[in-house]
Amino acid sequence: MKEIITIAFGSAKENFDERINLFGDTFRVKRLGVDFHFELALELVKKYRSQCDIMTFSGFPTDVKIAGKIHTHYQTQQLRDAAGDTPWTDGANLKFMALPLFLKNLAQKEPFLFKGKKIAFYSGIVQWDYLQTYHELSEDLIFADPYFSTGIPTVIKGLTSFRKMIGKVRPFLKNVNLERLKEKDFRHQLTKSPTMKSFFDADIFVVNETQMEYLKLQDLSGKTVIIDQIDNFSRKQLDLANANKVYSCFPDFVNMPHLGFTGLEAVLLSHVKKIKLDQDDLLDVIAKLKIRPEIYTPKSQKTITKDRFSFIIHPLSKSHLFGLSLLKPLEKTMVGAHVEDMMKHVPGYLYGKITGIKSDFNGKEVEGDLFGLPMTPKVMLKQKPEQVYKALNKICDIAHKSGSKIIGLGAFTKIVGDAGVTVNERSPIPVTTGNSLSASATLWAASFGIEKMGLIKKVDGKYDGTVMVIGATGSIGKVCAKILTKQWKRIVVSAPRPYKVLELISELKEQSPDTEIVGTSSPDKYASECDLIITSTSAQGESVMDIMQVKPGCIICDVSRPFDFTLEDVSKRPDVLVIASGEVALPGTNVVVEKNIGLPGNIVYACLAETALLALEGRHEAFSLSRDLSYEKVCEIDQLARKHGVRLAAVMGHTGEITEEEILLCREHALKARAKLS
Amino acid sequence: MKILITGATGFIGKRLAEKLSSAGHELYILVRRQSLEKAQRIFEDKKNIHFIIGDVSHNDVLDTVGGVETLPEDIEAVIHLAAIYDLEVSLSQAYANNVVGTQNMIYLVQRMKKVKFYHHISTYAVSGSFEGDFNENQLEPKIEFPDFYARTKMQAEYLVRNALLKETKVRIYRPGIIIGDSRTGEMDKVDGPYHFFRLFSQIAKIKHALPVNILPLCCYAKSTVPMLPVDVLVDWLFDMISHPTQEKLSCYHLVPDEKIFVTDFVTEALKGFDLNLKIVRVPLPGIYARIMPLLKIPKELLPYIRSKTSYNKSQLKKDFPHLKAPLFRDYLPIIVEKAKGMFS
Repeated sequence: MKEIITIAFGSAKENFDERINLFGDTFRVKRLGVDFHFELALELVKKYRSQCDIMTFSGFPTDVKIAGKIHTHYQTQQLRDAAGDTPWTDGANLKFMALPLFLKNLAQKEPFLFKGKKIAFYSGIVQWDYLQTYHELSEDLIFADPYFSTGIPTVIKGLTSFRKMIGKVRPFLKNVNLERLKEKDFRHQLTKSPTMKSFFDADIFVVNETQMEYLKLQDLSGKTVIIDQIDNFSRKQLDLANANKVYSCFPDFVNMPHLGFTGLEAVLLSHVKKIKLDQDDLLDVIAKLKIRPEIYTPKSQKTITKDRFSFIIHPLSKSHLFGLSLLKPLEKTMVGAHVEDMMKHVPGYLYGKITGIKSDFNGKEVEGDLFGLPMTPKVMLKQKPEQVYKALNKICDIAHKSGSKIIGLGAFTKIVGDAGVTVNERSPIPVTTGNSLSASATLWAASFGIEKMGLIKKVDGKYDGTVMVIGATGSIGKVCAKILTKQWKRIVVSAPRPYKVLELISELKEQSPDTEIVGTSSPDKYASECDLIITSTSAQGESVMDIMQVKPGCIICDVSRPFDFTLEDVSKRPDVLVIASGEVALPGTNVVVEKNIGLPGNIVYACLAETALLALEGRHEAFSLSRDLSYEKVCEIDQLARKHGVRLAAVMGHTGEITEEEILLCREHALKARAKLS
Repeated sequence: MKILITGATGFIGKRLAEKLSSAGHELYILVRRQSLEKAQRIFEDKKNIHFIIGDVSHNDVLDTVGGVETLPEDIEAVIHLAAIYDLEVSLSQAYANNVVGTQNMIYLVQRMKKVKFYHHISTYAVSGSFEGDFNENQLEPKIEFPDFYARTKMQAEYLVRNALLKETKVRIYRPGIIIGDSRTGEMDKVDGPYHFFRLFSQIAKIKHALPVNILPLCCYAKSTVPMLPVDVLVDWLFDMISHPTQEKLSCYHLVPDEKIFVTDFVTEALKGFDLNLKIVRVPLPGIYARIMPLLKIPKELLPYIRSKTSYNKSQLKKDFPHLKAPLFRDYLPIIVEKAKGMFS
């Protein structure tokens, strides 16, 4: 039996002493934590070096290679010297091989994990060897090293400035007494200074298990955490922290709970009977033990925690206002005419609740508060945006006080002014317009329509037909074009300005070289060829296309508001399916929408569902804002919707829900019309 | 019953081993090579006492090549008493003996086949600087500890509580301050209250030359000392080890029922030394701590006389209601009488 003693800089509470079997050998691995007493560590190394085969160091700084030169912390060097002839390891070799593999693997599996996210390092120097890899995944890196090594509450943004800083201070860093690091506790008041705020705003936090002892757990709440390896202590801490997602870079071996990079490298070292491990040994063990990322779901997420979200709706017309029992008697009186104007002075109020939303993925439950803003669209658009912002922000404050973590803007409230940007700036909780999921759900509705109509076949995973996007250079149009280019064999992109169309075409070509892409400024030219038409323009009701030109059986998704196709247009063509939007159902068997929100049953607006989804995912951020839409976000929310179980529940037309029978009727009309044509 | 015991040559250990062996138990005493002679002297006429060379702070504990295989297979109880007890001990010594020693014992017990009970002798000092009613299943790892002894004993107990011992039940004992024998006054070393006894015996020699008849004491009016004579402690341990309950893990505070206030204790002790000094409680512990070493009292004692902790013993009362300590006023004169002899 080989004996391995680990001297750990962290707490003695996590000490263990156990036997493991690996590679056909038995090892006794013992951990001795010194509670940040360096002298104790040194003494223990001296006392136990002769009583073990391998000595390992955990939680002490590992070597840092800067400009080809290796820098070793003086106290780390003291430990190594104290070990004498006993071989030692700190797991750095194995980690150096495994971690970049792990990160790339992770980014491949979850492409939205890193994209555009801010990654925070409690200590960048500890992760020095992996910073380049992180940088490749997201350029938005932020480092708390100035605070960690000197106590000055400030941060460094970006890898380049961090490298510059380290280059300057490295002679000093090498000589900082490690015991002083414990004083740089992240629970300290100083970390709350505004200069460090941007650090705690990050999306992803990179930590190691020793750092878990001196950071403030609330700071990780709702965040993504990447940790070198999870031991019992960090597991408990992460449970308490209520982190959203935790990725451990080391697998969780059930019968070897304490084996980490350090332990494994020590085991390997004594197994191969070499002084130093070479790359082949390391690669071999990574492959053999299948070292790959591990997702740890904190307990707090497993047990039911109910997050709250809020959503703001408003009456769509005066007649809705009279639906309120208090106002009903006024309808027929003289005052009735002024009710609309009077109501704008009434502050927002709690209108109803949505209960029973439960994620299909992890069983997390959320509840929603519906707030009513008693302004009709007419009043809202007549007023100065500032007035509407004020009313909306009042609701945000109430929502915040009643425990909501995020708030969504419904219907016209997201159209007023700058579409949520100002409201979000002034709100204590993040605000979202829900537009990303609305876009996504509309496309779901389009594919649902295509499936039900059954007139287009899929070949090699792509629809064998033509799709057209009108207003393709606008923000929604562009996102739709990007998504549809992947799904269709031929796409026509239309916009009034040809140079913009050309730009878009080259972008789309790069993304999907196999798809035939056609650009135009006159959509009518291609109207008769298209099987699906998406229109997203700001034509303000002016005709963009003659519906009579459209091919029978075509599906039109009219995303523009006001609509591009009038009700009159639509009724002219019973053989064409015109979809206005897709609305969705929330996950959970007992979803109850307390009050009428203008949709049948428990169906909710997709933008409301986006708010609920963000709460389910613990992503409390202003996900969709302004009139712009981002392709990445639409794809991401689409993924989240599938993950938690939000699904299409209703296809909405210009006058309300389109039932399946109506679609089939349309199909019959289309088939007849096609027969006539041929 | 076959029992493996560590720390059996110590102040408590030798009395407990004596008692267990008299009761007919077969004892396997772990001794360090350098203490073997001393151990043989202490237990020379005992047939049922066997010595095993080893050291709890050593990774392998047992000195023999065969390791755990060399122990009799049918050892049913392990009593881990060995610890470095010295308030002025260095951190590495305290850690190697108390923390690593305990880890090693757990590791050993995990490898023994028939151990039904693992008895861990902890200390009341694991309460650290906790203030208020400290209960028997409480442990506050994040609190301040006045010395390395208290801290390492807390860490050891924490590890014991969280150890994976499948078939073995765990008993944790937290004795209070241990003083001499209540019947004979016998005491092995100068420790705890005995530092004060030494001071008093010196003052007694010059009492006629004292300028003022007051004794400044830096403590709170409600500060207590949970004191227990060693013979009482050994009787209790013997009783509890012989008749353990069936719970998987139990912990007991081995302290008296009565509240022994520091001021009362000192008053009684002074009486024993024929000193008529008036106790005056003083503030400023910082300055007091500086004066203490001048009087040959280790300053590490200060937190113990300024304690704001009371030790809840409901588990002990529930499981062993018959265990009662004598009142301190009854036995203190005997202790003081003996102490006088030690310092004359």
